[in-house]
Amino acid sequence: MTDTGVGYRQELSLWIDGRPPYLDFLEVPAEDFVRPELQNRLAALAATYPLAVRSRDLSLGTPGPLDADRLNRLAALAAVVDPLWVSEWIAFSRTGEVDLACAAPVRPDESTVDLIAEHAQEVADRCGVPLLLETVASHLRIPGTMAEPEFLNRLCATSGCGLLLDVTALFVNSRNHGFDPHLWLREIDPPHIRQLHISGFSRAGDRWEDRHGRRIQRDIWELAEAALAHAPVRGAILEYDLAFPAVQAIEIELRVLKAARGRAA
Amino acid sequence: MKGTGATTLRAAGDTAFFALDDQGILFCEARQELHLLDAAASYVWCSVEDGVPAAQIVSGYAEACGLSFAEAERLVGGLLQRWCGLGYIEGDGPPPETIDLTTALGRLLVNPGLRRSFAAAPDETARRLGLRGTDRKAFLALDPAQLDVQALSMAEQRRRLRQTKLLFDHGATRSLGPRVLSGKSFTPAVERCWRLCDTTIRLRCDTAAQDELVRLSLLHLEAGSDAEADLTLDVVEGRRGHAVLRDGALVGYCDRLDQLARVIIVLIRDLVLDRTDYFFMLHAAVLSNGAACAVLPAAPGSGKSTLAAALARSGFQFFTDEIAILERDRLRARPFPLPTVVKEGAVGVLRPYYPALPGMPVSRRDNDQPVRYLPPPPDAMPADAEPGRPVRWIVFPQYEATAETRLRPLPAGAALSRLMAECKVVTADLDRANVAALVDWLRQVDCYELTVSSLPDAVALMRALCLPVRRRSSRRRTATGSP
Repeated sequence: MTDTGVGYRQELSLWIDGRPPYLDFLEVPAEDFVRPELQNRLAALAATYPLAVRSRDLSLGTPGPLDADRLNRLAALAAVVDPLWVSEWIAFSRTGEVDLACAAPVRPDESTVDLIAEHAQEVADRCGVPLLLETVASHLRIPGTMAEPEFLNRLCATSGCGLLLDVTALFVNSRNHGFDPHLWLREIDPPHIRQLHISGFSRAGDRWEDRHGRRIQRDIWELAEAALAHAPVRGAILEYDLAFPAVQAIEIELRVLKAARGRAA
Repeated sequence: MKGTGATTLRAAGDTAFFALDDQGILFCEARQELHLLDAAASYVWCSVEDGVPAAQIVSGYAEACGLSFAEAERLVGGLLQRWCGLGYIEGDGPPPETIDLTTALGRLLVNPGLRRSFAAAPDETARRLGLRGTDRKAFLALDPAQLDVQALSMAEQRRRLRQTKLLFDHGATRSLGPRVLSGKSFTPAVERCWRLCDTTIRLRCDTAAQDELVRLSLLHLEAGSDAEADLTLDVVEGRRGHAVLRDGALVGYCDRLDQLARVIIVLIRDLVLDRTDYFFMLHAAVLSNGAACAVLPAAPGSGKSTLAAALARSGFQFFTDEIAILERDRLRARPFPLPTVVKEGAVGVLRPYYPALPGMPVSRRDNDQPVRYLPPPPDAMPADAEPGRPVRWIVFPQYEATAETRLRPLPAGAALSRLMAECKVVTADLDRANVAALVDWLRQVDCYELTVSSLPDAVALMRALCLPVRRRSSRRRTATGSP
């Protein structure tokens, strides 16, 4: 059974507190809850909804040890809310010199599988809950020794982690790099996919972007439904960031997602 | 380090350096970055700006720091190589240490000059970067056009992320969008106006109980029911709780009456901030001695609000306990006197200052934590049309139960780092002029760290520091930024 929900954002907090229809799952951004007094807020949310925690600053793809402070903070947060799982990008967002603050792609090869799997196991051990590894949108492709689906299958198998498939990132990548996202999806071993991210894409000239700033388009719904039919997805999250639609529109999109889940079941 | 030789370097055009005490602030405008450089790094940077050849920088550094030439060469060379790679300085850097693909990609993604070099001569760029041999093939196969698009997209994302993060505590509830509650006609039982920072808000409450709860928290901001309002909020009691509407759209909601004060105060805060022109918003308390202000930046839980409430009963004017807003240009602090949020644990220590506090209504925050919303004493309120006042002290308070209460001077560079950590909103991009203004402002402010275990002792220290108005200290300096 797939739970459906939204990514927690401060802008939506009052609506979420009102326990709106069709919302039965929340994903909270770890970086927004590092302050101790906000962890009380998180505990209150955890008492109301099943929660997943999304982390985006561990930089699993950076060679060398993980940042101990960041990992400790995430582990402390996980201890407060006991989430279903935590998730982190399959990417690097930092080097020893510069903090990029967003996801940069990694090279799909054996050494990267080993690096991220080792980091992922450390995160899961420290947090005491499963870790899901999240796919990212990227304009840059780094040539490696494996195709991306093979890399992801190997990574999940080696690390023991599930996959958080960002449906919109997959669609955007398919447009920017010219491949069929449905074929790509079928190459992923179904048991790996545990969670989906779904949002609207945008376009800037000939670039396709995963910006969470538009209503969810039909192409995305179709791909999401294909993912729900392909894999035993446990949770699906709608993401809104750049522009927040009226809450009624969010409720409609949650209802559409539930219907898609029903058809895929 | 394999020898810095006669390498000549120059600062990139979008960088600026500002001296601050014996440290330096390196500002990179294109990336909106502020870096605090220690004395040694500042020396190296200034030498680069002065056109000093790398070998000469090394000898000067060795002499200044009492190091061997080889050790100085290793340290300076590493610094110059990194700055070259990241694009803060231009020219042929010193021979590199070996770096891996991730480090090289990080540099490519933030340094347009390096991307241009890569597009023109990937082999040569790999050599100059000192790229590890095993990563060479993947590096050379990168698509320069994809790199440019990725870098552009990431820069846009970083900018958006910065805004999103900054807005987090700002809680832009207006984004909820239209959701009209139907089936109930609204006839307010009580109307009242509140005025904060040049904005007047009319609040129309469905019941006298709603009004009473809000009124007790916002007594000090009451503007009279016939004031001309800039905007109107309606509080409607429904079957499931209390909804707050603006023009028929839901902008706030709570289940219970004891949560309403929090919803209204957060809404007033956000709506007024939206209508107020300012440059920086800090997470800080601000108190005034009537002529100048002390800014107390600190994270929640540091005891800042408790201290601010006590100071408001000890001869200070209360500007804010949480939202410090600094004006453009002169960075003067404006009053933003929302009520102080007093948690249960602080009621006892504040009771000597506010004897009626224990009997005040208990409200609930969104985490169900019980709090009291404490209006400042009438004699601590700044005048209604109070202009911004100059900041003369920055004091970072930190509650430590077992430590001695004491005030220690803090270097301006360290103060800047801590200040930016508490900075929530910057309403405009930083440029050389406003960074220069910020550094100049810091030079004229005395910075301290206040460790607090005893509230009366902390109040006494703050009174001794700020009351009465004293002559300016001798450490005031004039502003000189370079370039």
